[in-house]
Amino acid sequence: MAEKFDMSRQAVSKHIKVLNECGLIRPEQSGREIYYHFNAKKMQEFDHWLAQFRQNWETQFNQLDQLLTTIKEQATK
Amino acid sequence: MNNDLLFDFNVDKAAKTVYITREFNAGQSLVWDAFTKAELLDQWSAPAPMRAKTKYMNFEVGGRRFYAMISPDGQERWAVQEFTSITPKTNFKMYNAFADKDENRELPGSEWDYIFSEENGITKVHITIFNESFERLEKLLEGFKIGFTITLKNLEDLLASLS
Repeated sequence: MAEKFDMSRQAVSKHIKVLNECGLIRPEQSGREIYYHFNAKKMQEFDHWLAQFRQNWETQFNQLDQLLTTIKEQATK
Repeated sequence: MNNDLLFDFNVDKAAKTVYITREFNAGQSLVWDAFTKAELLDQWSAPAPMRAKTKYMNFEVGGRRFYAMISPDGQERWAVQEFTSITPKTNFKMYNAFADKDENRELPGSEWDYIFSEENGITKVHITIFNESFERLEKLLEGFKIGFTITLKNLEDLLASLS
């Protein structure tokens, strides 16, 4: 897996640890190996949240654009 | 809405960090004010139909901003920002945590870093948000579920009025 993503084994372990902590993957022990199952539903929830988070930022920044325009116009009067 | 202005939004899930970059068609000093003065923040920093209300703000190192996001039905979600570093006009950092109406904070929170720069009259703002835990992200998820439901309702109403 480290090879596939072109990162060190340490980095892969770190990613797995975090993804496991937040429930996006879950481990299943099989003999000496651990298989990680991808929690598609949780990932979907997270992506959905993320899309909404991004949208909120976009909306706020558009609001800021308008505010800045208003302030600049008032300053030139 | 000016479509030439850069807006970059990236998430590093494993690093629990969100990176946002946005350009604004205004000078650095004015954009800095928009991000650091309560009376300006309250005018743009909640996505409509939510609105922001600052109870108080001391923009200095060690100072705080205590504010709420208010939903159209009047529900208030309070939060505290504690300013940990300020380099006027170019950078500030703060620690953000949800709180109750009496300013009791719910840890863990998140660390925010804002960097401002200007070129040819366009100001670029880089925001880095680091979340200590996904519990906090789930709390945000709840908050935005409410927001999202409201937005969907607006859309329904709009479509109904157009048909």
